[in-house]
Amino acid sequence: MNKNKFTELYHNRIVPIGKNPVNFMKAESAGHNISAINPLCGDKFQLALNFQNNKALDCSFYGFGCILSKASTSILLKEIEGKSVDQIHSLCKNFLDGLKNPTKHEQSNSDIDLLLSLIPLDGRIDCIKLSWENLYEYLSTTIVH
Amino acid sequence: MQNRFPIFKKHPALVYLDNAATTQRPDLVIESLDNFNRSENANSHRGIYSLSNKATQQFENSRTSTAKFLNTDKENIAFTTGTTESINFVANGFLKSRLKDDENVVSTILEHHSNFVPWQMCCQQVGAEFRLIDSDAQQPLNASLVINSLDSKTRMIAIQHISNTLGTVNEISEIIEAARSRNIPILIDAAQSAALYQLDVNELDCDFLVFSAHKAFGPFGVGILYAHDRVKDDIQPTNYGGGMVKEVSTKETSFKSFPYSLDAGTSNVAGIIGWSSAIKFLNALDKDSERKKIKTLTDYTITEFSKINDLEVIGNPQAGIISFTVKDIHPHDIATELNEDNIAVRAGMHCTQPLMDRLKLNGTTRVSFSIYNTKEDVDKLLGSLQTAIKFLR
Repeated sequence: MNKNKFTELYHNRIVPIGKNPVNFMKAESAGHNISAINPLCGDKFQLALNFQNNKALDCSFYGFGCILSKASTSILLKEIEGKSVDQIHSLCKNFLDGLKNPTKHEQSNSDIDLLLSLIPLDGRIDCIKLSWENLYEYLSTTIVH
Repeated sequence: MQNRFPIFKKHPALVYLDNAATTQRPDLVIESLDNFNRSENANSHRGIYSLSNKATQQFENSRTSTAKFLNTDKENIAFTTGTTESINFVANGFLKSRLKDDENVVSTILEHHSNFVPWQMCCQQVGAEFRLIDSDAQQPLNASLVINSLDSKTRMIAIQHISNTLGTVNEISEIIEAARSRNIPILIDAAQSAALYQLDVNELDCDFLVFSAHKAFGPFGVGILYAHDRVKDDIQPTNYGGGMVKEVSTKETSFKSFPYSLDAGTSNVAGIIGWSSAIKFLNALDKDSERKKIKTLTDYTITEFSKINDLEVIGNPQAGIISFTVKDIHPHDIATELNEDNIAVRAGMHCTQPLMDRLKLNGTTRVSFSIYNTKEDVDKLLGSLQTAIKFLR
């Protein structure tokens, strides 16, 4: 990633989100608690999801992580608000597919596109996908069959 | 010194401070690899033709050079794919069949996962105790703690020479002496010391010593397993294939003796030959002087780090490896910012998760020096680091 892109995408857009992530708080109780852990770098988040009438609401996360993993999780939580389990499952799948094969991703959302545009950032793809991957796996194994 | 390393011609602004992960390759190693691949490529130990014969000769010459490098005989040197495979050969081919459920293996909380997980798995599979010596990271490993933990049921000791996370140099001689007096086999993980420390296995008298070529200016994919005469024929093969057999019938197979018993399948011939050029490079170095230079850089870095608010150096680094944390800033975020200034450092757990848990750390940023690093490199690091901290706050 060249210097200008780094400044524009990472410094100017991701770092502010990562410094002040949405719903970054310890949940007292939640319908679904999902651990997102990367043992290689030490990131450990706890995602707390609640559903009412099959719509996600009051979702939050807490824990230790880098600016990028925090920003990515913050964007994820903002995206899933009001969506059904199936919609969230598809959203995560499409995003993870987009990370694997960015050319096939249909551009639809500026924050998600922002994350996908950071694929060339050296060594940080695991930070981007940490919470998305763990939420997808959780939904795949416990709710969506 | 940088002019011996072509990577710095290609990347003149590069400040490479990840030498504990891998060192850069000097010109003669690259030329050796290139020459073999361009002009001498053939499989060793197989063909009845000149190219293959030459490959075999060079391969075996590399074994002889490695033996001299460690002051031993070529019959005691096996080539593997790296430190990890070397340790796995000892854990699974030597220890497992002799370890009983009421016995123990002694290691430390400081170890790299490659000198931790193979023993842990071995103990779990047998039901034996994996006995870990604690460390608070402030000082090198306390040898008497290790020695006092040995008992009549200890069947193996596995200890690193230099911590890849803390940069502390452990007193292995004392531990080896205690192991020998109790007739307990001991493995030394020399991954971080093979490049610049004189490793005389004859004098050390350890049973096994392992390291990777790529952390000592050699190529990737080449590991060294030294085994003493008293244990080498007790390492049973754990991989089976073509090159290591003596005789194969439909009913049974017999194997060659060590070190050839471990050569199942085709070896990394080019890499092993390239490693012999790295030995030439290493033998031409004044290691005492290079270590002193690196110690000076280490001390300077620590002194300057102490002037940065909220920066904490972990432990008491001695050997050119410094792990640090900055309050409320993730190591990855620091590494990304430094990368923008062409400074390569490592961030994370450094494959020492038990140690990180022990120290209640979620990871560190690590800088590690080698012979081509300079005070200017450290000054660039310090400048970039302070800018990064300011931005990330």
